Amino acid sequence: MTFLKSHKKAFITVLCLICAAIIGVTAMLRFQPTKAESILGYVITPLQGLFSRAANFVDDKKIYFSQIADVQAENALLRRENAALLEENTRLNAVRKQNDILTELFNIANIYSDLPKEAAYIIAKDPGNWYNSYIIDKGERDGFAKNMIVLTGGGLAGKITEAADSYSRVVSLIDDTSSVSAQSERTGDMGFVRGDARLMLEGKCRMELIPAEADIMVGDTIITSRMSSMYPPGILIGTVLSVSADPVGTKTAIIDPFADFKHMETVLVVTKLFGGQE
Amino acid sequence: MRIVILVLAVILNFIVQSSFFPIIEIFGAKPNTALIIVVCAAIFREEITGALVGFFAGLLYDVFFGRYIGFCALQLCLIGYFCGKPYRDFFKSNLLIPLTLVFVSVAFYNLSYYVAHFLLLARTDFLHYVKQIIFPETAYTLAVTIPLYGLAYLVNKGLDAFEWKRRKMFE
Repeated sequence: MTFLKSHKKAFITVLCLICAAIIGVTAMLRFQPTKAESILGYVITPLQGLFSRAANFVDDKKIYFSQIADVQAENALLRRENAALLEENTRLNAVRKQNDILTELFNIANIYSDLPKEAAYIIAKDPGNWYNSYIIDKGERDGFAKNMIVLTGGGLAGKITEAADSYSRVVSLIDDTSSVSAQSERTGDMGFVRGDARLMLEGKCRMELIPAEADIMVGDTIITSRMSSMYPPGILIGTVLSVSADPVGTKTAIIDPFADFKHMETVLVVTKLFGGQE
Repeated sequence: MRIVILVLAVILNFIVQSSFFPIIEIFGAKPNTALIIVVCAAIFREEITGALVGFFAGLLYDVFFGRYIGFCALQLCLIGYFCGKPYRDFFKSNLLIPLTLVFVSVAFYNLSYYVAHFLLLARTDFLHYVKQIIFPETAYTLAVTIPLYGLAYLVNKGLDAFEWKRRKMFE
């Protein structure tokens, strides 16, 4: 320690150089977590799991107490709405039956029920404010691998970017580094759904590079496209909130994802890889 | 003893930060408590300790969430080093110095993060990022600094007394 104190400048320089070396090495060849990372994971992740379960419990209770007054008013409203919905439901059931017959005719496989899925629990979230990524409590030994896609709440949540032995890292759809080839369900217009740090805090993302002549409207459903090499086609992403024209001639839409990133506790991981790298 | 407490503080803080903080976020912003711990360690224990605590706290974050391993370690170890510089120049009971240091550190942390991860990808809309991300985080972190610094001050006082007693015992 006294030796270090007399060579402060040399010490900090060496420490910085070590950091720079690690950055250089990992930026160039970042594939799978090393053994050291996996061992660290064994120590840290169980504790994170414990803490996030406790946090979710507190969160639930917080909501419980703060909303008890609103709930009664809401209940009365919901009763009235329920009657209307019941009527609508019977009508829609008839439509669904019709749809089933038509789907069979077109021979479109139901993409969701065909996929092998495995549930995982979110045990940690990136504590920084720039990115949006999660640690889930299952990893390579449960059959997870890099680039597997992650679903939640009926929609796309993101993909696995790193699978260690006992945990994996999921980069979410609204993370600034995420990009998914997508299309409008109604018209088939293509574009790219990208995360944006400025929209991330509201849980939204944007769809870029939509052709100028595309007929895309507020309320349209956006799904993964058939052009994507990593995502299976037809996975629900979100709905269009607003559309604006770019100066370069394309259109950009703000997307409200089906996944609720604020209150996500469990996710479904599709344990199958689709083709190559993107 | 001091080392044990510092290691425990860094690890426990990381776990709490990554699993508990989503429920205390305000407007999507979360306080950067790891940075506060690094600044506190530097204030009470000079440059070397500050740099080492920063290095390991940053590395822990990088291993789990970092886009490039070592980037956060570099940021925090520089912050720890420079915050340890004015070690001899002020009374530790004064709250203004830690607040200033944390403010400068958070600003440096976020600016370097922005430059390395966003500006280099041609995201030039700097003011928007300041408004949406940097400003809320800075304000929240400064608010959290006050109680955390108080806690660190008490812990440091206790440790000083403990070490003083032990030294007298052996002399």
